Amino acid sequence: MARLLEFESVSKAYGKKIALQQITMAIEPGRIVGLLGSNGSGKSTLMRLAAGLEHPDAGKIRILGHLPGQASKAAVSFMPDRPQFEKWMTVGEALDFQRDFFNDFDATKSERMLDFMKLSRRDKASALSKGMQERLQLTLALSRRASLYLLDEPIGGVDPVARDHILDALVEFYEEDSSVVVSTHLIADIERIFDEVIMIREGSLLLQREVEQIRMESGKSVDQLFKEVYAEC
Amino acid sequence: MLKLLKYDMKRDLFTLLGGAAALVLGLLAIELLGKQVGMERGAQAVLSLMGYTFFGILILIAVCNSFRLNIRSVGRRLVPLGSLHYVGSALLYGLLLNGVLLVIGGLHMLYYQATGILQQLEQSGSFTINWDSSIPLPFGVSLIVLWGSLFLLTLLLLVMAMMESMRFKGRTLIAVAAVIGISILTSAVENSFFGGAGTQALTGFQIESQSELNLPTESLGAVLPAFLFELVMSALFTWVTVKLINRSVRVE
Repeated sequence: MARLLEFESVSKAYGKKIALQQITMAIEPGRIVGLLGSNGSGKSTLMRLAAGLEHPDAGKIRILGHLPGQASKAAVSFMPDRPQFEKWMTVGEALDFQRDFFNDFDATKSERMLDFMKLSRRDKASALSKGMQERLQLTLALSRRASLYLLDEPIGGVDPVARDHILDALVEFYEEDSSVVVSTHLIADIERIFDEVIMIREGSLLLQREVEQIRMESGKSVDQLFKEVYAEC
Repeated sequence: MLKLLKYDMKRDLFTLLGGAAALVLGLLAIELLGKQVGMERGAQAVLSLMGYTFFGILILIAVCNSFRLNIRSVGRRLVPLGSLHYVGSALLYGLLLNGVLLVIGGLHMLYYQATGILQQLEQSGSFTINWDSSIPLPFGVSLIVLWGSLFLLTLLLLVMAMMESMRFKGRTLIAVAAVIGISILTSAVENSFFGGAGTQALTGFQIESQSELNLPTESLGAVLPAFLFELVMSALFTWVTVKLINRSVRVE
């Protein structure tokens, strides 16, 4: 069976700034993976490469055996760290857009999610508060029955109550045979849902390990380990 | 492609309706106010034609802006469609809007014909039609306008994609220079190889003075090589545009 997501010596730079260097990793199906790193460590670049929004300067990326492109975009549901809906859209129109372009869109699931997230189809998306926009973004991403969900900072910039609600929605609505990669630097709030974590620093991969393994080997939580690792920077 | 077009139209709905209303009101104002202030028929016709040209330019701007938004938008770029679809939907959008403009223009001509204004213009020599093609005149004019706008759009979309691929200041100036440069180059090639028998939109229309316009024509045989040249050029522009979207355009 093809690996869900595979990076092979992937590097990416923006001008002189190196965003990722020589990243090699793989993600298997049925996992919730935390992609951890401080601001500017390369998390978003890694996500955008996997989502097919950017091309690596070197190395290979495969999603279910496909190079990033039309086939991979049909299998990946990406929640970017900024609104993916257009300013003129209502919540309903944003969902209709997803339905029109993605064959794996699940209308029943999207209605359940709207209800869970307390969103109304008639609301203008750009007029929603930041927390509600995050909820809409998550609804757009999870309303699909995708093989791989890439969620870039889904809880960044929202209050703790909204955070819990978003995490509950994530656990409730993701497809169990799919994998979810969640990028964040707010680990304490979210580590309870991770099966494994990937840590990157200054564009390089520091570690990829099972959460249980980290706890058993070091006797620390992921949050504690993260603070230790990144305190050295 | 059609789905992208659907969302382009939904996004621009109010602008499009407002633009159409402004054009119709403008034409009515030229007609009614022109009569009241005693403006010559020829001058009114030229003014109306200038109105159509102005709206033709606005259509190009609207389509380019829509294309630019689409290739930069994360939501649009995540959909499982090849980059050719973005170019295709923009070209269809341009065709559709120009088609609407042509329909309004056609109705305007029908009004001129029904009220005898067209005959008056022809008799006074302010408006001359020398159409010796086997293609019916309305169809021929539509073809020239639509193909011309399509060709120009492929060039403009290429320049938009170039502009969105650059990461430094002054890219707008570079884009303007690119439009002028490529246009001059294309025209120079057409002049050298096809004796200036280009098929660009409105090359057949000439405004001689403030109140005179002519509509000369060239035979189909004379413009066919130029048309084929433009077809190859627009395919080349589209190919480069797709490559740029795939490799260089930065998604916001």
